[in-house]
Formats: sequence, structure tokens, C-alpha cells
Amino acid sequence: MFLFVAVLGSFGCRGVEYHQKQRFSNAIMLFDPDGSEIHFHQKTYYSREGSAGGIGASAGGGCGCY
Amino acid sequence: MLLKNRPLALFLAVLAGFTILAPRTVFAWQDQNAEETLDDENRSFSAEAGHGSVTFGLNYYRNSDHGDGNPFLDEALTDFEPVIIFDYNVTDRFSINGDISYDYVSSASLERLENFGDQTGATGDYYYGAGLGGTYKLEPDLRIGGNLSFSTEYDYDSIGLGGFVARDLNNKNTTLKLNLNAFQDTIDIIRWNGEQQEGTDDRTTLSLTGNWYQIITPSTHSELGISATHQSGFLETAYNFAVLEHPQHPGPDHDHPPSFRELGGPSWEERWLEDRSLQDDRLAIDDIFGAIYPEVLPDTRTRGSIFGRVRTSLSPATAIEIGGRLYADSWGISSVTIEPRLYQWLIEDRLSARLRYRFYAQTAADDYSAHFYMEDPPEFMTQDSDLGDFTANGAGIKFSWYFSETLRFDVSSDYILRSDGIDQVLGAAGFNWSF
Repeated sequence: MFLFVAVLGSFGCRGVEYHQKQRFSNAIMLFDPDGSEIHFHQKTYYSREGSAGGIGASAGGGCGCY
Repeated sequence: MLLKNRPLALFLAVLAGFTILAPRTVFAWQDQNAEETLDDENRSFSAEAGHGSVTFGLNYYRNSDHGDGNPFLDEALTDFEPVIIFDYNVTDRFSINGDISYDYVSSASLERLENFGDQTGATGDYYYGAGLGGTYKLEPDLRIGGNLSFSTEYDYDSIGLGGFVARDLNNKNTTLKLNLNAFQDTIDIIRWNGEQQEGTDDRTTLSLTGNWYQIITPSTHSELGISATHQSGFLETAYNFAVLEHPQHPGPDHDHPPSFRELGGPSWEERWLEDRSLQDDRLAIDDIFGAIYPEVLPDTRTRGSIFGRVRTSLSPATAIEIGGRLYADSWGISSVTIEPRLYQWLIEDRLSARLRYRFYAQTAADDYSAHFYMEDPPEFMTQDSDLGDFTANGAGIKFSWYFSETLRFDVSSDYILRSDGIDQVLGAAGFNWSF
């Protein structure tokens, strides 16, 4: 999948014009519009999975142990 | 039963039905003004000085314990968490953001508090966290930022410092971002039985993350990231313990319960004599003879992950996403995460829904085992079920109601089935107000 993303990404170099980007302003196309949910899910995964990164945006920061 | 055995099939069936039954009127959706931006960070920046947003969320988490995982511990738990997040454009170039959260944690093992007032960690705990950050726009396509965070728990204090640089390229079709974060934690080493004789210890974490955001086509965009983290210091969970068993003891005999158990460390005999209630609480399995020792884990850990997602708009009313993550660390844990999502407008501009399925699988840490034995004591040992091998299948739904262009209400629920019996329920409700 990551290779897929990378290959697709290379197509982006062709450039999408500004007037073609309307769909990205659609609320259902926004990445992570709900900060509270991100915080909650990351904390849950951090506390209950051995491979989670951490509380907040990246690894580390407190125990958060369940 | 279907949910237990065929969660993916059930999710796909619901997803298909959801799409078919969606009101046709939503397809009359009109594209919004392209001058709106692509994500929260950019939205804050594109707005003028004096604008910002506030998000409030009330989150609920509960997990059960069906007897797998750590066989010596009831891991059922409930957590309530209110959180407030804000961002504000101080000037057209400079914005600030922050968050405040609080967790109230209660668990089945709270009963131990009656016997051990200093019982720590997961047994009736709190968590206060706060963060403050800023972003400065050096050039139209170049941003830098930093953040400071702090959290405190019953036995933990943590200070975090981070910074990032982000660059837009290719007519803003591409954004590259580099994050560096450091955390310094101080741990009061309070053991499962309330002992605090070991004082405090430290944990240091350094994490470097690179993100690549890419607009692929006029209806598809993606994110790809890679992260490396190094941790050192006290990496155990202080209140975790491991049981060293006497395998030579005769097998189960429920008609004749064991006459004694040994408990904890070099002075186990004295402790057992002084505090029989500890043994009764801890060793819930009557047919096991053994001694309780603190969890011991290596004092360094290096972690790496790669993650990504692609979202495409099938129509103005429907979008789908596929996301995933691969992870490996020096403790022997590797994991894979796959998460497809469906986004659907149910009422144009008013009500949207999101369905998601999350598959997660991890291998066990090298030092994890459900059972350890006296005759062959390991150098490192943990019975923390979160460091064991398991798979998790989670599914959830979220509704977002847009009262106006500046006020949104969210409510969501997720259920996670874990192969080790630590099933989880997540619920959340909150609102976002932009001004």
C-alpha cells in the first residue's frame, strides 16, 4: 500500500491546478478535522497496544497506562 | 457471532448498504469555494488574524477482561476524558494552538485500593495533560513551529518539547513536514503493593517523524509518513508484575486449595506473612504456586514505523479512504494496521457519517510470556498483555452535524474485539466552534 501511495504520489508532480481543488474543501475530504478524536484514539492505542507511538502526535510523554 | 468471526465481511456489508441507502439528494451537492483550505493547520493559517476555533470533546473508554491476557490480573477498566483544543491566529503569520485534557480512570482492580492505599497506575488514576504550540509563516510556502507539553499522573510527570518545519511545493500539491519531539519523564516507582522504596527514575524519548502530503488528482489526496523513536531509561510500567511459578508443584486440585503462596522479591516470605490479603488479591488462579516480582524490561527501545493513507472523492457526497501502518521495534514487537473508511453526506451540508474498520495485529515482545518459571528465571520478563501477541478488529461509526458554517457537533462510537479478550468500547461526543 505504501508503494501504491508513493507511485500515486508521483502523479501529483504533474500538478493539480488551483481551480481543480474544490473537492478538497468538502468537509468529508478533510484529513483529521476533529482534534479531540485524534487525541482520544492516540491515547487509547498508546495505552492498549504495544506498538503505538504515544500520547499526542508522536511517541513519548507520560505513562497513560490503563 | 458474525461480528466475532467475520468483522470485515460485516463491515463491508454495512458499508455497501450505507452507500446504497444514502439519500439521493445529497448528490446534488455543490462544490464549495476552492479558497477554503485542505486541513486544520492550513485552515488556521488561511484565516485572518483574530480567527480560530475551539473544540470540546467528552470521551469514554471501557475495556472488559474475559480472562485471557494477563492471567493474574483483572484488566477491566473505564476511563472518562474531557478535552479542550483551541487554535487562534494571533496575526496573519503567527498562530497558537493548545489542548487541555483530564482523565479519570477506574478499574476492577480498584478494590485493591481498600487494602493498599498507595496502589498506583491503572487502578483508579488521573491524568492531566496540557500543551501549547505556535506556528509561524516564514514565507508563503514555509512554516515553522514548536510546542511545549506537560502531563502529570499519579506516578508520572512528563515534559515534552517539539518543533517542526513544513514546506509546500509543486503549487501546494505537495507538503513536506519534519517533526522532532523530545520528552523527559519522571516516574515515581510505586510497585503493585504500594512500595515506594526505589524512589524515582527517568525516561527520555526522542522522536523524528517525516510526513509527505500529496494531492494526486483533483479528487484524491494522500499522506505518507515515516517515524523513528528512541527511548531510554525506566521503560517498565512500575506497578506491573510478573509471576514466577513453581512448575513442579502438583496440578490443580480445587477440592484442596493450596495451603500457601509465596510472594514478591527477596523478602517475599516476610511480606506474605504480613499481608496475606495481597496474595489473595493477586493470584486469582488457585492452582498456581509462585512468587510475584516486578516487571523487568530493557532500558532502551528503538521504534520505527511507516504509515499512510489515501482518500478519494467518489462523488461530492461520498469519499473513501484506505490507511495503514507498519511498525517494528527493538523489543521484538512488530505490527500491522489496516483501516478503510467511508465518508458519506446523509443530508447535504448538514449531516455526515463516517464508517470505519480497523484491523490491528502485533507480535509479542521477546520478553513477554503468559507464564514464567522459577527453575529458569529470565533476565527480562513482562506479563503485560499489551506487549503480548494479539489481533484486534474494530468498527465504528461517527456522525457530524453542521449547525452552521462555524459550529459542528460530533458523536461517535467504536467497538474493538481483541483476540486476548480485552474487548473495548469507545464513545465520544463533542463540538467544534470556529470564529
